[in-house]
Amino acid sequence: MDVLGGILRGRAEYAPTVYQMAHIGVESLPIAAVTMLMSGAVLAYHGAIEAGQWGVDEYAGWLVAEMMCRELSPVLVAFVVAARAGSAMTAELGTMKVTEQIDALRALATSPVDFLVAPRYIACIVMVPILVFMGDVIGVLGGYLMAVTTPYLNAADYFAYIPGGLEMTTIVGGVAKGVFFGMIIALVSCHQGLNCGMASEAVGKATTRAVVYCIMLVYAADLLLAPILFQV
Amino acid sequence: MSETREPIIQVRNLCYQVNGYQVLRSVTFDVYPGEIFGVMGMSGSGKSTLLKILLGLLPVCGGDITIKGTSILELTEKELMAVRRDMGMCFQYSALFDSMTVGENVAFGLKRRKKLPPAEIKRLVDEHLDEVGLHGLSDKMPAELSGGMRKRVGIARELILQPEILLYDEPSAGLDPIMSAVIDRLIVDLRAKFGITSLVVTHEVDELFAISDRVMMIHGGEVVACDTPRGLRESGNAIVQQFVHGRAEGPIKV
Repeated sequence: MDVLGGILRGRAEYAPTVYQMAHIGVESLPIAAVTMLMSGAVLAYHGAIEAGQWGVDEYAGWLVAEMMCRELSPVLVAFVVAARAGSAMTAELGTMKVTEQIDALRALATSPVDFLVAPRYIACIVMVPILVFMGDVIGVLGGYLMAVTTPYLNAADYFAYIPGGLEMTTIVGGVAKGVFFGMIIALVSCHQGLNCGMASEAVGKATTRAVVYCIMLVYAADLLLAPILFQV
Repeated sequence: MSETREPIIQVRNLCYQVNGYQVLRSVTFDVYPGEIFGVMGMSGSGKSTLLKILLGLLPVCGGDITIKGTSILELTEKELMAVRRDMGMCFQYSALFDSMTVGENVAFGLKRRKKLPPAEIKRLVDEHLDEVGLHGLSDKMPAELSGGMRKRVGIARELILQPEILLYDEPSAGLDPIMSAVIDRLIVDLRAKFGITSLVVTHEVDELFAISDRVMMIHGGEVVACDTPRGLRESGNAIVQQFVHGRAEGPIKV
């Protein structure tokens, strides 16, 4: 609530927020892109086998796009960001606590929530959905790559049913998941960092805990959000 | 120091415990404006904890603390921020922000409190780095500095905010004798130039006696003596005598 209050009162600082957006979003893009490209290709391969058995292999491209947007891109991007940026957040804030930098901030009459947590929170809820959308596109292209380089899929038909079959609400629903997952990653990672023990070992344990909690909570949120965002 | 003046820091029956262990019990003392007040005691006696409590960084289990007439223990974090604006703390290991340059560290508080043009901030940063003998080091990272230099950057970071009260946690810990003397002289000079009230915590007796107007000794979480350096040297208290003379034998058991 302190984080939300600080953001709403405009106390989050501009420069650290932009820096965190670059760190969390832009610097996570390469690993997220590789992950999504591979996942899209593998999904296309499996999709081709299954669709082929039913004689509807022209739908394989649509199947990849649907699964990417609904599930794979939001969840995998969240895992990538939690592992790469969330762990870094916890380790950084934990080290700042152990070295009394958090106390120094408070002694300088600066709120650690406004200065450290709010920029990371804003960066996560803005950048994770953007990464999810980019993951959707890259994942579909990964499937196309499989189609043009292997005989399992018909490249000419790959995009045929995507424009008509993939609804805007599916894309928006997946991106909306990214907002919630971004909140989880920022809050869990910052909370673990600011509340870790006063030893270097405690920083390591807090970092591990942050990633594990993020993964579990992302799955739990995914389960709750699926029937809300994607109604039958 | 004249005790007819109002104390700038007033501590009454302060208690602090952590995990059921009583670190401080019924600690009472006053610090007067412009005074250099020393706190000495064994390692782990709660000296550094006392400084963090004075800044409102740790919750206490009893007593009262008044800073410039304001009782701080019931204040919210936001209200404490206002009290902290008149105070500064130099941490034992400097607590510099390690992702920022020396100049950015020194400018940190100033940028948040005053809307000044960048050129004016740079001028003030350079001026205060000169003040602590660190001319031209503005672009260095904290990791590139020695322990003594980092301590002085920590002092400059506080000094630029013109605090009325400066708290020093082990200012000479880990420093060579010459650097310790430089820091000691700086503390005395800051009182002479700016009238800053200083509260210095250390277990270095000679250093503390050389710069302090009065010194308080904490042992077992309690105040065992509070007097002038001369008064403590001549004290009949066996605990004080053992600590001041650094004897292994005596009432303090390790």
